[in-house]
Amino acid sequence: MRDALLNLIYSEPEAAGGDALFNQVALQIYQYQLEHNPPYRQFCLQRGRHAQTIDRWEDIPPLPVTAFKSIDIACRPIQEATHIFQSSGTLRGPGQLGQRKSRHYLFDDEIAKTAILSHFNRHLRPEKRMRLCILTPSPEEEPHSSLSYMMGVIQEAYGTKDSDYYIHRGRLLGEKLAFDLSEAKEPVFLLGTSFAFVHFIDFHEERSFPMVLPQGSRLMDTGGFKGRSRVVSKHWLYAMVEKRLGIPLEYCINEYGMSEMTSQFYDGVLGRDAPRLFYAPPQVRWQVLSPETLKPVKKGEVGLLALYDLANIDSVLALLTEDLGREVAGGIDLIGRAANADLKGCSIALDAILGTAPPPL
Amino acid sequence: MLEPTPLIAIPIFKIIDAIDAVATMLLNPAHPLRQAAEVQLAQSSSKEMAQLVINDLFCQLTKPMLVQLLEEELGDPLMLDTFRPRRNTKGLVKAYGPRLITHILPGNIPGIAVMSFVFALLVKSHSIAKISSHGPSLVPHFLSALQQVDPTLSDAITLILSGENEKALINEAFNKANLVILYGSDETVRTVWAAIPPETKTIVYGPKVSLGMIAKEEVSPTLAQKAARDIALYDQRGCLSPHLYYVEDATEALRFAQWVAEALDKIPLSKGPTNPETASAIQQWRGAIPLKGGTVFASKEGVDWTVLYDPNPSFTISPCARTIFIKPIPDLAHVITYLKPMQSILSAVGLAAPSSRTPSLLDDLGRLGVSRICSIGKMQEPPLIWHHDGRFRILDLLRFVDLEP
Repeated sequence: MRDALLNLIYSEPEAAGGDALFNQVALQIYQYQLEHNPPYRQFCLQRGRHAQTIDRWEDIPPLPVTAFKSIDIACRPIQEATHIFQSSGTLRGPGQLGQRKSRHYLFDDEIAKTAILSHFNRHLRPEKRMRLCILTPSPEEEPHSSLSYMMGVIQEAYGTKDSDYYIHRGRLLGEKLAFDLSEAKEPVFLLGTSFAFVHFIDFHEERSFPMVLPQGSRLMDTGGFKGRSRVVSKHWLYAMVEKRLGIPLEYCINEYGMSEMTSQFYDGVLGRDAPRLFYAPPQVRWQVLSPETLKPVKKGEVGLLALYDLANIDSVLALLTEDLGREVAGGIDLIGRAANADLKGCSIALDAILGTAPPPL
Repeated sequence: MLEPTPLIAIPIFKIIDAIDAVATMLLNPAHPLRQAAEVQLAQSSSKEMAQLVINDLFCQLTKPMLVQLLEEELGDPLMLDTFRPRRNTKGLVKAYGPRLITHILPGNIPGIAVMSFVFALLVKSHSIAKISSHGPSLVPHFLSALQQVDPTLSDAITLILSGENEKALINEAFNKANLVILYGSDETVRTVWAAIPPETKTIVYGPKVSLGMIAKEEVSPTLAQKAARDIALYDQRGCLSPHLYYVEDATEALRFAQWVAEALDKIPLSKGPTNPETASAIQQWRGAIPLKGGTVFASKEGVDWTVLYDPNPSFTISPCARTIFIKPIPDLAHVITYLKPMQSILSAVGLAAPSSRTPSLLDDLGRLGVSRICSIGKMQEPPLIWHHDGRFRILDLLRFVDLEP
């Protein structure tokens, strides 16, 4: 099962027979998870689903990601986990007291690293080791961040010695980053949360002239606008990156992932000018479900994303996310995150009226 | 001599009569404005719910109710027209409303905007208002009726419509206002605050949540039906809508959950549309609660209603749209601990408990900041004289001039 999964991860997304292979491995892993993951088994039984009755991956019941906040979702004893990833989102407001952060246990580093690097490689195409400027905390500083873990994996595989992390104790090291970039003679690779880049762009705009980074420099950002007051679009950010740092639009790639998922999606291939759509790696499939009925929507309609990530071998492969999207040309057009259970009540007036203007950072 | 605003010259009882006439028009099922209002509200809920909401609102705005409100808060409503004797001491007193009130009003509960205008009229103030475009509105129907009854009164209310210069108009309205009434969440209130001149008196209605508390002696299918009504009315859009019920004793709580589910399934008030974000949140809870040792009762199709029996006693904010948590608690007195973190946003408590058991509980709830304790089944129908968020409806808008003997 594990070898079959690794083969699948290495395969090309367009490979012939990919679907049959995916289905076969998915059902094997699902069976394994039913056997070894009692809460998930219970969940499936409640939905009237049993392994024997399922022969299509589409019928595997997706577990709501909120479940990761309530209980440990793992197929192996959690003491054996090599990493525990916690969600970055803060628990907002008094109504969330009974909740803890989402927890996802990783047991198999090889699978995680392979999943991360193979798809990263397809989309960001690092030809050789590069100087990585990483706008996240280091994995040492944030051992429970799946994003920092991923950066560590990429750093190890593709980073030169002078690569560095530029978020330290929750602060962006703007001066250092601006200086390091201004010194760069070789192409640099900027990676981090979209929000950190917004900070850096603001910082840079206040203090420095625009610069043009060496040709081949690139940027990968990941949607980190969750729960922030200032909302900027990907479009705005990339336009600013081009203006301030001289990295062309098609060298900026957006990543979509979550701490409950081992694999990632990217919205473009470096250097290729194409519509921004998220394409899944070979070990991942997805469906768009009606938020009301959880049945698949008609092609092209907006709905909730259910993700089937086989690299989640030791937790749960089928996830019901809180993200809305629709299918376009075989990719995901991500519409956004369905808001957290927010306080409604007699008070949505101002949000609705004034929500148009970006408030200060 | 100061030039009087047109409203100052109108006697309070004439204003009351005009509002009463408006209420009569909108309570009349045959009146075209009433019918238009029903159609408007039914778009986001259902016909039955629309009728209920309109009736409930305008029954409150009839002459006897308005007089009762003024007498309750002022003693003597004529104090709004002229200097009147003080109640217990010598001397005279007269009440003045602000010349101009700027309102920022929500669209989720159709009655709120109308009420806010009525209170402004009662204190003879002109109003400029921005109403959130989200949600159904009764304001056009109210204003049309008012114009038919007395154009001077309807002319005293100006709406800021959506458009390019909306922000500038809102800012101008803030600058001119003698009083600002603001409905909004903490974050947005802070944002808007900067635009309001610091010396301008501002009344803020922030986000609030409500809940129910039920003693084990009171658990019954009838009570569950009443609870279901509180949950179904407005589809929990209001701050008086319950997010959860604390029910004494786990067995009773589970029974109650079952009964509420049955009642929600049968309730004749059909539900309005649920947006994808809310539906998503409901699906997340439906999936997660069983894994936490709880039980889910849910509508067969879609997300029409959901009852979540959740053994975790911490206060949980519901995604609303007929989604209710039922939480067992060994003793109602323990609830106070779980309400403490919610202190700043508590509104109403629907309470079902034998009166012998309530005295200390009532006081604890009062000290926590609850502004209304009522029967279950009545949570959505606050009387006009309710101290909304603990405030006076009329007195808070007024200032007084004393004439000493």
